[in-house]
Amino acid sequence: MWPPNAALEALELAHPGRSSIVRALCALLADRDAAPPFLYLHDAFCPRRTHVMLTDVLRSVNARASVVDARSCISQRAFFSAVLRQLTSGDLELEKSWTDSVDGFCAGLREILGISSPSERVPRSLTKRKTRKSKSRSPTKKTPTRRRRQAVESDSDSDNAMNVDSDNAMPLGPVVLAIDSAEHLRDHLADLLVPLTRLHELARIDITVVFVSSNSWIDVQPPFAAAPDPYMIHVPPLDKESMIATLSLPYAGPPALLSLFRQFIASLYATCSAFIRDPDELAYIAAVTWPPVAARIQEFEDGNAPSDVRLVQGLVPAFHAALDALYTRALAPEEFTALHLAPFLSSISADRPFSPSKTAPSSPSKKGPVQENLEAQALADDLPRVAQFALVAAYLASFNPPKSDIRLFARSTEERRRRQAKTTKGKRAAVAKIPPRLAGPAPFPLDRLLALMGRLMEDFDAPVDDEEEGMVDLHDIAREQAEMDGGRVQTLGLISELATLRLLHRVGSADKALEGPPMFKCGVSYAVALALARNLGIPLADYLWEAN
Amino acid sequence: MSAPSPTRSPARKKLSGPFIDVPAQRAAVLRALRHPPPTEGDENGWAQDDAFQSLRDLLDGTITRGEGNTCMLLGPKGCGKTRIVDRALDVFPRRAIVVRLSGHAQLSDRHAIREMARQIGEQTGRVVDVEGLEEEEESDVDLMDDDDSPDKVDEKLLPPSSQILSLVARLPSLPRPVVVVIDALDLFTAHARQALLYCLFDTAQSIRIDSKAKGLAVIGVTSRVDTINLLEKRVKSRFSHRVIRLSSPQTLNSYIGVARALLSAHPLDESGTTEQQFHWDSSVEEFLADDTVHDTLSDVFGLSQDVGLLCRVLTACVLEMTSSPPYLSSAALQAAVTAQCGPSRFPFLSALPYPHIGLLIAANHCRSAGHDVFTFEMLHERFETQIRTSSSAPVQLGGVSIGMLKCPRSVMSASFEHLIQLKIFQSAAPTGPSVSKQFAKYRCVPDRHDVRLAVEETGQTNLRKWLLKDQT
Amino acid sequence: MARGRRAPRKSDPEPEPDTPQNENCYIIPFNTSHASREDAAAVLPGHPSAEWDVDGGPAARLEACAAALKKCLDRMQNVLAQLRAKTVDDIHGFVTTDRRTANPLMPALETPAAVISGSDPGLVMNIMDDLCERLEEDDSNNVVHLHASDCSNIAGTLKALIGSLVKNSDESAIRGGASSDLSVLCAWLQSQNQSQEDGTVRVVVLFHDVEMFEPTVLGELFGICSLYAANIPFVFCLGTSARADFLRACLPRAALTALHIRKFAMAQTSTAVFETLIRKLYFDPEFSPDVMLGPAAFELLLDDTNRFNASIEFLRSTLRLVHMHHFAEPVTSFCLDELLGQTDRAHAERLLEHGESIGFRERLLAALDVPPTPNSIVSGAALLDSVVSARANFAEKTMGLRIAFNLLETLQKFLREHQFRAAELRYGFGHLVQLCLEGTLDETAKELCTLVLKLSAEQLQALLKLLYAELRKLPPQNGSAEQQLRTRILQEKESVGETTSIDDVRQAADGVSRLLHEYFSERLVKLHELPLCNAWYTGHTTCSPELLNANPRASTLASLTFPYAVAPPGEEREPQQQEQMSDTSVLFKRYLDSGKLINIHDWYRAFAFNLHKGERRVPADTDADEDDEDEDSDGPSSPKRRKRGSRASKSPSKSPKKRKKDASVAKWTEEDPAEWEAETKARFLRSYHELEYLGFIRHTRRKVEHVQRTVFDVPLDDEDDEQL
Repeated sequence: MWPPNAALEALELAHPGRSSIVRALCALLADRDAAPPFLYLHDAFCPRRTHVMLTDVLRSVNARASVVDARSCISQRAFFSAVLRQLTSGDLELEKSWTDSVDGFCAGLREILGISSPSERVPRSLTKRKTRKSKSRSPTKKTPTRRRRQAVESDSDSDNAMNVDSDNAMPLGPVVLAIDSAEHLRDHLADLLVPLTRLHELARIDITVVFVSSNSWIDVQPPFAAAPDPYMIHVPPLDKESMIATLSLPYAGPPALLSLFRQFIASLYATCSAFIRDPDELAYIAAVTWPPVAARIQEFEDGNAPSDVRLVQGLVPAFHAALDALYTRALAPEEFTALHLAPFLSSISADRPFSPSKTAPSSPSKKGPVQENLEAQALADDLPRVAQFALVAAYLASFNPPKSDIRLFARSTEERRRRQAKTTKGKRAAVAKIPPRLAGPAPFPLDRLLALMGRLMEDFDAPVDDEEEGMVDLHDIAREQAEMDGGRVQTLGLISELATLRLLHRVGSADKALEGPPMFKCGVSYAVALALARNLGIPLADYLWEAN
Repeated sequence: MSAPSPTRSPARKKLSGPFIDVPAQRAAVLRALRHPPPTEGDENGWAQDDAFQSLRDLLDGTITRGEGNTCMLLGPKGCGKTRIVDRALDVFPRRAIVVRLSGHAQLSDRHAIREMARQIGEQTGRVVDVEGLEEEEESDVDLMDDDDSPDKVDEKLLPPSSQILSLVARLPSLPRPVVVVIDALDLFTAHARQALLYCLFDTAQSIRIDSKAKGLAVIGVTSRVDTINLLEKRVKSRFSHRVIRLSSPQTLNSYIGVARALLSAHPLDESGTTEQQFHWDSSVEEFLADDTVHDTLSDVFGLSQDVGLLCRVLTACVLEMTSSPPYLSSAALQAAVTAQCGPSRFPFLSALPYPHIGLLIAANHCRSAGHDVFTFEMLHERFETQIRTSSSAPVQLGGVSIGMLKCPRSVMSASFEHLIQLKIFQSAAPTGPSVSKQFAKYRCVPDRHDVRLAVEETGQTNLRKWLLKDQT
Repeated sequence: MARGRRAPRKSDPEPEPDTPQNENCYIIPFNTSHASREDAAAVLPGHPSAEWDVDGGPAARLEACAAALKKCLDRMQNVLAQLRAKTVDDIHGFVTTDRRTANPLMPALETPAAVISGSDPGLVMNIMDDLCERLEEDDSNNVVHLHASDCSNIAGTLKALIGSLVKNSDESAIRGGASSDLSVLCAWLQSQNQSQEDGTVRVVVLFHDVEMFEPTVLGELFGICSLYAANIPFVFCLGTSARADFLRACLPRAALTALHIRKFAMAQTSTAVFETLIRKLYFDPEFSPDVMLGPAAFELLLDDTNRFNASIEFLRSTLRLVHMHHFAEPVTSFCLDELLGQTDRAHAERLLEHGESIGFRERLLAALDVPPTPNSIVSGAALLDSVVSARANFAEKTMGLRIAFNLLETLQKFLREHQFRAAELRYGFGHLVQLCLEGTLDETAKELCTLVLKLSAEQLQALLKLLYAELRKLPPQNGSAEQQLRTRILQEKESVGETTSIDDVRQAADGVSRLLHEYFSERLVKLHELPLCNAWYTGHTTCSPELLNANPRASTLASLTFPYAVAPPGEEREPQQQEQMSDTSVLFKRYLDSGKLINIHDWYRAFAFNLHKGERRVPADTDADEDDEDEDSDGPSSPKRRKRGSRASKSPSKSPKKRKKDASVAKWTEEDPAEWEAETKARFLRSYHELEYLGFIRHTRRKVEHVQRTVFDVPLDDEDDEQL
């Protein structure tokens, strides 16, 4: 039914900037046998809100709707039962046969829509429709007789169907099956894609299937044009006003602060909208940053609260930080508040004007690497010594071409040769191919890792006990020990443990472990490798073929 | 509501007398678009009537004289094949058992058999003994309840292929003649050994008139022209090769005729006066008479004769209609066409935020540098260098320097993932757990033209400069 | 049988077999009929055999060992539990927070996820277990455990998640739904909620070893769970031994946005945990272990912990080995009591005076360093008394050592904080412990005491205050030395308190320094000089690191190259020629000489040639075949013959009958080349298969008559140098 104007306005209020789409949807879904069989809502930025809007519309046109998220159903059975359960709203027992195949599902749909309509009018219009579809309607096994009779009397008035239709004044609400994040249908329900798009002709009922997706139909549709094209509705991103309106909607605080909140949102939008267009992400930042601000403001007695403008200005650096920390979920909300918000908030006071520059971190782009390095150092310190060697060796093995090993790790006589060769090599390589630090780590066999590791340990791992071996040349001992350590059970154990920690990546499947040497890839970033090298006193740059 | 085209404004004044109940009218048109009325042939000779005739005759032969008939309904999609079958069947109400199969729903013969058995069981009170399976099915389902793959469930529940013959052979012995409508016949040819088709055609062929067997008609519906060649030899030899061809409207006039027929539907309830209906019809006439409308429709017609497409376009157009003025507008039609037929794959490209666009440009430069496949690191590298250069040599615009915004790496990688999620970047190499995020290989889908358009629309000069850089 | 004593191939190239290097691999004797006491003793070479032991000694020592180990490990458990407690509290608090009042501004519900990270998997596991216990006390928490093994794909994961909860519920909750459908869980949870008075039922999912999960599966799971977040209050606890930002690195962003991630980690790094454990186990005045670590054992621990593996499990197993090695010493049967495993003291005395335990008595006397009286008759009672006194003495001394060590550390810390420069100040905990156990810590103490001289008045005050506080913390009833120290320190404090002039301060400082030095030099004893110390002190020898950290590849190669190095004791002789080595070794030598591809026929020829020379040189070898026939010939046998005999029984190519035949004929090899040929072929095949079994040979598709080498660059010459 076409919703009353009050409901319509409420809808438009709840979804700023969407009024045209809301009206279009209402008109399309106004009544059952006018609703198009297949709709496609394409929202690239925030499909969640589009989905909410759709459900609101469905409620307001009192549709018999079932809304399913394609991700939540990983088997056809789950999907079918979810849909049917919503349609019956739980008052009808589902039959097993309805959830085991498309046919059963269609039968179930017909069954449910057939029996569970409130008014008397419905069966007649149903039967009418069925007769237009020439009697392929399905009596239940439970009450065949009743079905028979209905079929009979339906056939009697099948010819003057039109005036039957004409004299039921109030049209039926549509039957809608809305599928959220439809692009995920391919993951587990690929077989259902075509049947769903053709559901109205397979089930032979007026049902409207709505796909909501962040991808365009071209990316979702099955191959060979097996599916009919949907009626497309493209949901554009929100413009500034409607975005701000959307963000200010859920405000539930004291009305005194509402104006401040509006400015807060406006400033947030001004700061972040260049980077984020997803209202949900902006809302998340607002949700994390606003409560502490509000709490702090309420501590002032209403006379001497700082002016809104100054406050909002002061928050800008925090917004910048939020971009890096919250938007990427690098920090938990409470961590963020403690790190970026608390100092600023404590600094604000009614009389003394504050300077944002010193209260809050100036620019996120400066802070990022520092944090990264800290993490790297923490990781590096927590690893046993041999593991550190292994990781440095792995980094070198992954980011140096194998042929360079002989040069890089040659004894001091060839040092000079290595250097010049390196420079020339580096120049020539840069033109043609992508440097490995951009293309990613290259796989290497375990033996190479052990060899490089042995060399590194030989040079940078001083032998621990030198009482009895004092007279022997220390270097020989170092070499012996390095060679022995290479093959030790625990060294190999460490390497595989590093692989489970994803600091090394095992290349190739584990079942092929016996054919050929095991291959690995380095899993640590340059920062981590640098930190490790620092711990071990290795000049990493000298061992890198192409300097980072 | 867009501005009316100049040709219509005088007419608007003339017509703007009585009030038209917009929601009702719109609902009426929508209903008509949803279930298009049967189109009667026009002078241009586009008619489904002869197709309807021959189909009805065939059914008549089967239903009244108990013949066994096979035929194939061939026509492009959206030209009303299924509708014609329905019309033809409506001629003989309740005198035939109609079994509808679809290649889209029944992926194997065994599914099809079970479905046939179910439908027959519904229409003849008698239970076909494939139904005998149903009891086991219940128990099976209880057993299989913990199983997650419904396919496996089916394997247990489905009748064995041996059932096919026995069931199909018994079709003529049913109390009423049977009409089997097979939608998407071409998909059935992919089933194992085309067993079902073989049995159906064979049975239909071997029915003798004199025998007291009831008739059997097998109507295959397909839009694939070479379906007959897909049939195996033994199957083909049993097929009567009767092919009823349907076509979309051949000429623009008939096409527009369809549009007219669809648009000039009236509200079903008699609330609207005939005067209103007259006004509406005349407005529709005027709308169709409009040149821009005519041209637009001819463009669509040139694109494809699909009536379904026409319906979608008109739907969008009708939705634009508001209560003031209560008429269709050519502008709305044009908008509808751009939205509905062949919509662009990434209509939102220009609306993407700054980091996304930056990545897109970087990807383009990678491509022009000969690296079609890229990793996040490569793009980020280019982005950073561009920022450095732009800040070192700042672009002066009206005296204010607008270097490119800095953007933290984490935000960039988030944008990268969003682009992947939007299928703008598509994976170019298998990404396993052994490949860390920033080194996974991707390929950029939109070509340079799209990107350039998008950047132009965003109107950020520094981005545009960057895009145009080193392309000369 | 001889072969059972030690793995012929699996040990190191050192010539003398009693170095710990040779202990790294054992083989259980394969025919148990010969597993006599000699064998049992011989399994631990370098250890006193039975004649040093008292009757029933091993059993008694075994019990003592178990008891001591248990005490040690229990202590470890307690310490660790204390370490974990705070973290577990935090996590529990985070999990059980009531989240029903959500932030209205929040666009979508987030699922709380606690990431529990620590470098030590065992530790993380324990934390998870503690957490699980805490959670299960309250029945509003439904705890689910997910392991990577049953989460290979999303369907299995969901099934595991749902099945473990609803399995005990009635059928009605899950009717009509697939087992991988979370709506089933919703229904079940509603039924739970009705029973629960306040609707705070939550589902806590514990992910064990998250780093083992497929990231894609995890992402999908989190996505799906977030869809049901409104109906099912999930809380995730993800235990990982990877770094904490591991999730952010590998999860798709879509999944991350669905979570509210909090990171929890053990405060200490693994090395810090190790130090705490050592401190609490061996240098805590409140706890006195039965067995005191020796420098060797501690070095072993420290070295491997720093270099290889800092996990607690490793520490545990090392301690276990150290204990076992320690209790191989006979006198350790006095470790816990002096009863020698007897019911009462009288029996023990009688046992001690018994004639057969003469050896043990001598050993005991040596340990007690009582000068052995000429007619070495000492009454059992006297012996046991001295044992008791020795134990008391040792306990008292070690207690003093612990306290002194702690005081020394305090002193060092204090001096370090006041910016003094000295090498001793840079010693870490490990080094201090090392010195202390070696008994050379008193020099360090001396250095530190000299530094005390440089202290100013108030610094002196502070130091004394500090030390006094330390001493106050000690249990009051302990030895006189600390009491004296306390009183003396009090006096010094007063004296320092009233001093004003420089030289007064100098004098006071001098006094304090001397006082401290006296105390330390009295208390920091050399444990290995105490009587009967080797009953309670693992001393300077301990089990070899090879036991914990072997190098099988090197050992295998070496023992193949130098089989005589691993011959049983008493018969390793420098071989005149390599021809006297075992077949496999001979074949292996040729293998090393050959190129990448080996032509089998050439190989055989070379093998046969060597063998031929060998046979002619040592004709005695051939009748060795006869001793091989009767398996129980446990006379000394050369490696080669041992190999041949023992493997001949396995090789199908030679039935015993045939072997007897060719053995008898083999005497006349010169006369009958055909027989000899047959035997050579058989022996070649046997050794060939041996090498293949060891993985030295790979077959190639292309050349059927060739095999491929898998091992290159075997360091020959270095090993040879080592020999000499």
